[in-house]
Amino acid sequence: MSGITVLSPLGVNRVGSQPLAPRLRSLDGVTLGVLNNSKPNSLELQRRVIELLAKQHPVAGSLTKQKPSAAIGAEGLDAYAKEVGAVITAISD
Amino acid sequence: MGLAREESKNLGMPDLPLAIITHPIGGESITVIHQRADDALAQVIRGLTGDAATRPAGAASSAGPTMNERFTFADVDEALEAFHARRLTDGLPFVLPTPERVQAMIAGSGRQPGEVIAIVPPRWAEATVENIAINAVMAGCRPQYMPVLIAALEAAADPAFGLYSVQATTHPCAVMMLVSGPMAQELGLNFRHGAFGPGFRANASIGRAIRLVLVNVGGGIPGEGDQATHGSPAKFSYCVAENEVATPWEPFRVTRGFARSDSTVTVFSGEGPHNINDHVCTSAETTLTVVADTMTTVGHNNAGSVIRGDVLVAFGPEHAHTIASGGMSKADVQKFLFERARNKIGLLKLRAMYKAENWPDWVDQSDDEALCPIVGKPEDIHIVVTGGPGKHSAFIPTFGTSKSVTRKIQPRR
Repeated sequence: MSGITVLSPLGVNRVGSQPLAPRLRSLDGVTLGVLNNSKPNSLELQRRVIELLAKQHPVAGSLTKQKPSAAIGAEGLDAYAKEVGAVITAISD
Repeated sequence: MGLAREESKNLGMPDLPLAIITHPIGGESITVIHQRADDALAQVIRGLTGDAATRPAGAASSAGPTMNERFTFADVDEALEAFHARRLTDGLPFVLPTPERVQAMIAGSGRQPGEVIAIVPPRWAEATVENIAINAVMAGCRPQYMPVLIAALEAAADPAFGLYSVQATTHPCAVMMLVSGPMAQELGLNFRHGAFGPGFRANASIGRAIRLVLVNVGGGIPGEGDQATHGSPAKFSYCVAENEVATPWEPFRVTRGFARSDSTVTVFSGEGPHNINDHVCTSAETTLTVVADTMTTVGHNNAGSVIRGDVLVAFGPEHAHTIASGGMSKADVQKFLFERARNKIGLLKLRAMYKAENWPDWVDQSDDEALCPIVGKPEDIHIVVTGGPGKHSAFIPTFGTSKSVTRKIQPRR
């Protein structure tokens, strides 16, 4: 075929598929993690979610971990994951 | 939401449970925030207890093509239109990346085409020498620019730079490149009149090539991987060189620990340059007072965000000589600006980003009259001389939580 041939400028993503943690059967007795990214009002939003969840389910409590900035990755997540049964993180912008 | 879903896919977790919260969140009353949480509760419960499948690891993701694809079009016009339609450009006319042109560009690097230079977020795709060359062709680069592009991408991929955030943020920061050293002259980079502006192929096409890599490899497409509210003209191209001929101080690269004989490129997550006009001051102190005042405008991200950020002050040669003739070294300038470019805590508390960053312990947040610097230490205020004659300098605020990174430009192998 005549014409013009050009190359794609796109790159290749080689990140493999990652397994998700199993979902919880129930929130009863679970310690809920709050991973907060310091965005304005994000902690207020998450605290309200926890408050509402606690009204509906007998959760064991919550444990908040705060990043110093939304633009910085969280440290110590492996240890944090052992202390909580689930994590709610937020927010984008 | 689009970015969050795309990002979870790019990181191999397309089924990651997400809750959609009505925008905006920042700047809203506690009543509104509580309502947002109330509305999202059902989604959160589903995310925690739903039956999202646990998927096996190891399967390939499908965020991009598995090889550098070739497209054949009937003619040049059809090819150009197809690239624009697929959002593979910055919107401007470009050079078609034919195999012959790309091959010549790769040869300019002296490297193997498949060598991976960087993993570019938020698509987390590989920028190989060939990918970079393809985008460099599109940008109008000459092959001898390839070592600069490779060094710049290596620098941008350094975790300290925080490229993911720089790409995806609502802030208008662009990847600004500062070239220092003999290669600036050898490549024809402009560092005199209009140093930040148009008119010079090397500056324009090197800056544009990096932008095209960020778009095409990294997925920094406006409204998708790039969530910038306004963006910036600086996102078309942002490459400046040091005016070493006119600087009264040591070259930028030497301050950063490199040899005088080296050439380097430094990346900053920069806003567009903010002009500093002073036609009156005749002393170092008064000139720097004007500079410091410009640096304390509270709307930029460095104000009240002093943990990790860098800023850049690009002195015009005339201002630089006024300051240096007063006996001030570059370190003296940094110290002066660190101490003068400060805002009252009471003023910073008005900013939308107040509480969004952890300020240093030594800043007394209980005292509204206490002064807070815009960076963590004097060395975070970077100093360079560029531009031509005239009583102007420029201040480049940054994304805030991003460090500048310098890499030596390795000559063609």
